[in-house]
Amino acid sequence: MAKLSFLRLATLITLYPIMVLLLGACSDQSVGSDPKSVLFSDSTPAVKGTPASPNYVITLPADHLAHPDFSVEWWYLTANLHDENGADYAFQWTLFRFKTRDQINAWDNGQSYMAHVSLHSKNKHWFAERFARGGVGNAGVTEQPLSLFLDDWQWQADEGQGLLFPSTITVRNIPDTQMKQPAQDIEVSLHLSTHGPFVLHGQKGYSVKSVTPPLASHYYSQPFIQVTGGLRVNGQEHQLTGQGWFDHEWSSQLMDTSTAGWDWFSIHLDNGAKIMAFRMRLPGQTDYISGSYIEPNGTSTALSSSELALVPHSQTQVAGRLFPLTWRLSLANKNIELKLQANKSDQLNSGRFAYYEGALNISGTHSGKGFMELTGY
Amino acid sequence: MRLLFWYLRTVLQSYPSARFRLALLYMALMIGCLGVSAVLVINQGAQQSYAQQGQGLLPLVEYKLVAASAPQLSKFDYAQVHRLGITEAVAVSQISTILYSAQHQPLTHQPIDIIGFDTLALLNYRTSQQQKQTRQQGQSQQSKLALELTSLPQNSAFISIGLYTKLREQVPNHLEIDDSIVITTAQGQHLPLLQQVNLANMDNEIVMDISLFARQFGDTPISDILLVGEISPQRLNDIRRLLPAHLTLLTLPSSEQNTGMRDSFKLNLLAMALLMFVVCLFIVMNACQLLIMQRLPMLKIFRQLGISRLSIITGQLVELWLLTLLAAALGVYFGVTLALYLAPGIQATLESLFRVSVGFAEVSYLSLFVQVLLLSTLGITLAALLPVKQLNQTLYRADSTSPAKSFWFTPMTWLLLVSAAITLWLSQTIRVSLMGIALLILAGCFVLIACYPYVLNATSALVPKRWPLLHWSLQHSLWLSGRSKIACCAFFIALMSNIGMNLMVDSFRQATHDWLNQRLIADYYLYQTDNIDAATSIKQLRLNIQAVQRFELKAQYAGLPIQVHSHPSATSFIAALKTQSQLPDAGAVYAAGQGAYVNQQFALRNKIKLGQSISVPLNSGVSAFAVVGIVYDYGNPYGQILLPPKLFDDKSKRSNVLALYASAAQMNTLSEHLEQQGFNRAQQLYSADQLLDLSMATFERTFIITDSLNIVTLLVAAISLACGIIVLMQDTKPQLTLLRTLGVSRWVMQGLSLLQYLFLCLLALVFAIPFGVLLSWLLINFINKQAFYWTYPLNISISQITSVSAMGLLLVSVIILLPLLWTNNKPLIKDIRWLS
Repeated sequence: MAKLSFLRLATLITLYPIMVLLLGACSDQSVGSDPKSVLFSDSTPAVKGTPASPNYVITLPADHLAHPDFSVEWWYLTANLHDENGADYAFQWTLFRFKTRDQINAWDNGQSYMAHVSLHSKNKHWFAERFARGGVGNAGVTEQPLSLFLDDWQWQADEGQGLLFPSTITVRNIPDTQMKQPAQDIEVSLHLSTHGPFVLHGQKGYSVKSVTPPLASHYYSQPFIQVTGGLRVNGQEHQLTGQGWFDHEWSSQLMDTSTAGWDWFSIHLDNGAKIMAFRMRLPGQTDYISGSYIEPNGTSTALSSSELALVPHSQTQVAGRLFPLTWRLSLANKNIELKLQANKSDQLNSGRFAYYEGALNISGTHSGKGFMELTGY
Repeated sequence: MRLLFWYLRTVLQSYPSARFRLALLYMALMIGCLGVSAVLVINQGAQQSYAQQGQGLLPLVEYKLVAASAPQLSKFDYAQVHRLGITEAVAVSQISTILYSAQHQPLTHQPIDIIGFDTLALLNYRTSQQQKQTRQQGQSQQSKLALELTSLPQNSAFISIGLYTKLREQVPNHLEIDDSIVITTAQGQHLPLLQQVNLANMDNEIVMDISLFARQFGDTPISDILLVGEISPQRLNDIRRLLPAHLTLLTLPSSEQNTGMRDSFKLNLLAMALLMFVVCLFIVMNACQLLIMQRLPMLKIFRQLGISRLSIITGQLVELWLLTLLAAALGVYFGVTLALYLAPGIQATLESLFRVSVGFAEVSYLSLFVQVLLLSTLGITLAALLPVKQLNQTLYRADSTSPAKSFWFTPMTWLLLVSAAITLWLSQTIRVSLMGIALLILAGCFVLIACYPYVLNATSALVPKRWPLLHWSLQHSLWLSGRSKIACCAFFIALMSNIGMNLMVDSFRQATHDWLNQRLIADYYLYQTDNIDAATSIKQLRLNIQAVQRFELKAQYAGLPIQVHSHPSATSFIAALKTQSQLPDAGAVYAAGQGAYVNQQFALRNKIKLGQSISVPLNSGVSAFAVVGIVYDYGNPYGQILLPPKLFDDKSKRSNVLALYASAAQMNTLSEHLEQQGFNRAQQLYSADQLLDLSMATFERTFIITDSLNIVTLLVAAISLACGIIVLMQDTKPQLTLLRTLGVSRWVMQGLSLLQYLFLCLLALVFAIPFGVLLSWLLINFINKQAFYWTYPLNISISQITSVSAMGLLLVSVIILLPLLWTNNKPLIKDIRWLS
């Protein structure tokens, strides 16, 4: 395939925007452009969806389901885990949905899906991605019980009534990225239960991503997830426990093509508080920084750039590119000064797009764990 | 090195005195290289154009999923296997159609496969492929297509450059990618935008995403669920374990059916090349011998000058390799030229015969030259072994003695015969069968050589002593047979393969003629197009014409595509079926709708016996029928099931051919009426006789290649024999000169020499006939059966055997006469001088 530049790709109107954009980026070996940021690209979709609106009221559990009228949507789970010996693991499970067309036929309901699974141990990284179209039956979001699935990777609620938790995530057949060999017998089965409420980000779930141009999404999280489960690798069983963070976000208001990327953090402080923070990098403009501070009881406060400082501290070369793997996060009002550092440097997800997604160690005024996502580097 | 250079320079200086022999050697080498080059070019261009369900288009497709009981796979099955974790599964939908222009003019003569793949599932393959790319740089054409497909722009389909060019030639002003597409299918559905793609494995296909396919062609059922990519044995076990009960894993018949067609085509060409190579080897061997014999005095002087035998032999071999280098260069050039010159004719013939496309567009001269040079160097080294060995002995001894008869000869002959029989008995594949046939041919040569002394002695004993010259002549034949083994074997092989091929082709011709004659029972056959509806016209015109239109469905049986056709159950129609075997009450059971006729291809492929029950997908369901008869269906690559028309519902697809029972006057009225709707009488209406003549003419055209090859083989074998004779003449000079000095006239001597050689050839012919008949039987019942799953009765035509024999003997007589006449022109005194 001819090498296509990212910008050229961004101008293509394609049958499957995600597919082509991802492929194009892949052929350019561009690193750091994660699916989220690319899917916000203004010229990406062939079909315009319903724009995010500040008047939209998020209603749960109904809004756990898909929003097919919106152009793009994702269900994102990240988890900081450890096994019975105290060894750390970082897990990511994501299902993306894209509205691809208005016309439907026997093989296409106008929606396409992509799933990513990533698992890090101290020395290993398993990562895989899969694709499927809607309307066939092997990918989608269904209720009673709520189920998110693509092939045999599934997240299924234990009970009906459309509730997302408690639930179980099961994934199999994830290749070891170092071995370049399919590890057929790898299996992760995690049980998720919650001990706190869902949190709506921004203005009651209306999350502004940039002022100029005005871009926003509907965004809520569940940061109080207790994770237990098992990991089987090459016949060896490991018991995993830890804490997880769930994001659900959907939008049709797309980012400007000149958007450079974003940096996103989810933080579990040891005192029970949670922080979500992100920085949109907009060339020629000041970075857009926003976030949420969540009390241990679930009460959340939207954070503006005047309240939240998010500054890269040092850069590290990963796969030939420099990534800011150490950050400083400050919340002056809360007397929080944190140093956020990647657990290990090699946490690159080498899918269609290579982007950085991995576990964090947190030190400073508080300790804790978390996840970091860096795109566009 | 210096010595070698000196040797070669001296040999070069002797070239003017050995023009004929050198030319013979060089020509043999060049023809061999030319033939091999041409075949390699054709083989290189041969593609699997009719890749069934696109399995030849995608990478590493060795398995597919089939429904054990249901007539076909459903979208639900597809989703289910993915949800069970079989992510290698890729759904395929396919239609085959003639393409038409906006003006409803057909653009293709053969149906084009339009294939839809689930490109999103292919993305999974792409991911795994990219992860492997760091350790595996090479990419197959299939991988490239899979990767290209996943980046196919919206509303676009891929088309091969070749097919695109063909279509463009038909509609040069309209077929532009950026213009609105005006190509339609037989059903009038428009094709999407076409993007050319240059991939060797794509030919007569148009491929696209399955969603676009569904949009363009409606809710076409899944043709196949293929497993794409490398699947380890462990993963295969997992997949078997994961599969739901009603689905099974089928190993694709890559070497049996689909690529079997391509392989048999390639095999055929390789056999042709091999035959040519072997025959050229004989000539080269004899030409080498001739050359060495001529320069023997010079070589003996070299020895006297103190040059070692090893140096002389090395110099001789180096000279031959240099000649090979030159011959290979010219041979490659002429071979490619020949292949390109023959391209249109070969293309048409091979497409009809093997259903493969032959592309000649890209030829890598360097790669071809290297291949041919290696092959011909190996060949000439082999061919030179015997002459060089003899040279070695000649340079070592003062005179040569007759080699002792080898004691291992007879056991070797038996061993070869038994090996050939066992190989053929156990053979399940074409390659093994070809090996068995090669062993049989070799055994035949050994039988011939082993029998020569017995037959010649017996014949000699029958000749009265009062005819001393004849008696001497026969005895001398025995001596000759020992010296011309290779040439006699070449002639034997040529005759045997000629008889075998001719009998096979003649049997096929006869079988095809009988079959067509039996099946074409209607008076006329009318080929309808979209705008022609003959059946309605017949009603409108109130013509008393009986029109029979068959239903034709495409289905799958045991995971392979089959045809389910209707065939009337009236006695006359049942009688029109040429059956290999049938039940006694076949017609009645069939007419009652309880029985089915199946073609030989279906029966052989699925090991179906008479009376056995088969489940036939029909009218959105599956019905069971007993097999009441197995019918011949020559040339059909698919298995076929025939059922009475009453079993098909009205929704079933009808053939565009109408069989009409009508008088010439009625047909004239109908044609005149249809011509107002654009009917082309010359191209769309045929009488049964015309159709038969047309089919047989096509048949004859198809086998022109075989006929030409036969004559070439015979000619080359005869030349080989002539070369042998020239060599032998040198050896028999003393005896012949002695006889002449005793008063035997030149003409009597010539007659006796001709008699000796012809007698040897006649004996070769006598042995070649039974072996040839056996060969034709093997070709029909092993090679044809294993390649195409159909056979036909062997017709041992005495006239064919006689004509091949006569042609062979005539050709060999003429060729033998040439060196004899050449010798005859020499005055006796020259020979006597030679003696002194």
